[in-house]
Amino acid sequence: MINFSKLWSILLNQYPAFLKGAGITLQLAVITVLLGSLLGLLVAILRRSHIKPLQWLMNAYIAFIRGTPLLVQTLLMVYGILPNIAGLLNIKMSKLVMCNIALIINSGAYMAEIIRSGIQSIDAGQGEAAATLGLSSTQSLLYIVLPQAVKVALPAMGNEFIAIIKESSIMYAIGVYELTYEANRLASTNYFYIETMLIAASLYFVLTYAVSQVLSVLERRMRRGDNSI
Amino acid sequence: MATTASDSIISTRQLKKNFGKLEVLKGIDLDIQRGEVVVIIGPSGSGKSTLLRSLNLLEKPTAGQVLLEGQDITHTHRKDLPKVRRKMGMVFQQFHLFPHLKVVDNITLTPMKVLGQSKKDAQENAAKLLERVGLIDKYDAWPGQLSGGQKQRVAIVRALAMNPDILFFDEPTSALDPEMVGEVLDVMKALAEGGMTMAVVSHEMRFAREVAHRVLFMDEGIIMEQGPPEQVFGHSQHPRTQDFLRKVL
Repeated sequence: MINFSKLWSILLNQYPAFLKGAGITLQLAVITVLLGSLLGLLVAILRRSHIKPLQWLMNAYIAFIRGTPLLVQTLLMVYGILPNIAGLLNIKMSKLVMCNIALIINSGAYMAEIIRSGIQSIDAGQGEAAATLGLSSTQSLLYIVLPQAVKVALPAMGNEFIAIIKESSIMYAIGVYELTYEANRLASTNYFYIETMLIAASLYFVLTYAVSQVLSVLERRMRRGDNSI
Repeated sequence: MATTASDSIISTRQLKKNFGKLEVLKGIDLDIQRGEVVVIIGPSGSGKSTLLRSLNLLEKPTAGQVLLEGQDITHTHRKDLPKVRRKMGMVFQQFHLFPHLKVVDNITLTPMKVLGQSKKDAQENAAKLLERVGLIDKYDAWPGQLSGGQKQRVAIVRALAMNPDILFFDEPTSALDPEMVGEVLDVMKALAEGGMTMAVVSHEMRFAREVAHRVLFMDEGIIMEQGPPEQVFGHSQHPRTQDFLRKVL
């Protein structure tokens, strides 16, 4: 059974550790969603390139990321690829940074898919009108299609943000001091697993719920600015 | 009057277009002169819209040639298409205004990005053109706030702002409520009277009769009959034309 007084005392005594972990989790997720969106946008654009090998490369990237577990990707990056790159460039990369890069590369593939479906939802007539006005295909994408596509894609991108907050818990396995790691560390010394993990779960929930609320406000705002009657 | 491709704005030679196995255009020879208003009529599926869309290469011809001011543009490289297309404005049945841009930005975007006009010049020109079609009060409106007829008038202004040599209209009034057809046709009529070269696919027979210099009747992917409106409407030679006109008039 849940020992509520213990839960309360863990929270009171250990809240700095939880907050620190939650802070790292949020930091990972925010950086991932920002840079992941940019990466996804870039990949979505490159996929429409007329250079075939570029298309293949982007498709292969997306297929690989979607077809393999995030944990395996992260292990590959953190213990394989990234230390080599850091060595070549003669720079130091912390585990946190490497994990963040792994998350960004993972999220970029999903964002690219989300943005692609946004682009596909835009009526072909928009591109035709742009073409007859003398816009190049790049200009048409930039000024006409993408602004509309991103607006369509925004709710799905918000869901991706929430998914990243939760999935970043996998970084526990690498030893990044994010929320799950901190909670497990505390639980393995106090042996109150249920109570400690409930606190961690609540914090995750607070984060994801807050994000979903902010997003729904944003969506409503955008719809109000929307020009259709 | 014999016409050659060199004194025409746009011409086609044996233009063919297939969609898969379906032959939509079966060898079209067409010359449109500067200042000429050509109205293309015919039953649906006859290839009218495909013809227009082949002229600005929205559809890639299967065979034959498209000539713009005597130059063969049929195989224009993708990179050079914008340069060719901006000389030919197009007004669509479904308007295709950019919903994320205000009316003024719909009109000024391409003059600025493509022609390199300054924002000030582009906006002044947009205001002038909006004034001309009676929509200056919609300068700052969003497309979603406009009626169909207003949208189409803005779409015409947007095309005009690029100073095209020729304007194509692909069934410009077919998506409009009946009470809004007149306001769009009035704008088109004024353009024609101002000397604009126009090719119009339309079911508006009165417009064709009043405004067209030449009426083309298309059926089954060929131009069955063409001539001045009095001739096509009054003394059509072809039974298919007579049959079509009986149904629509």
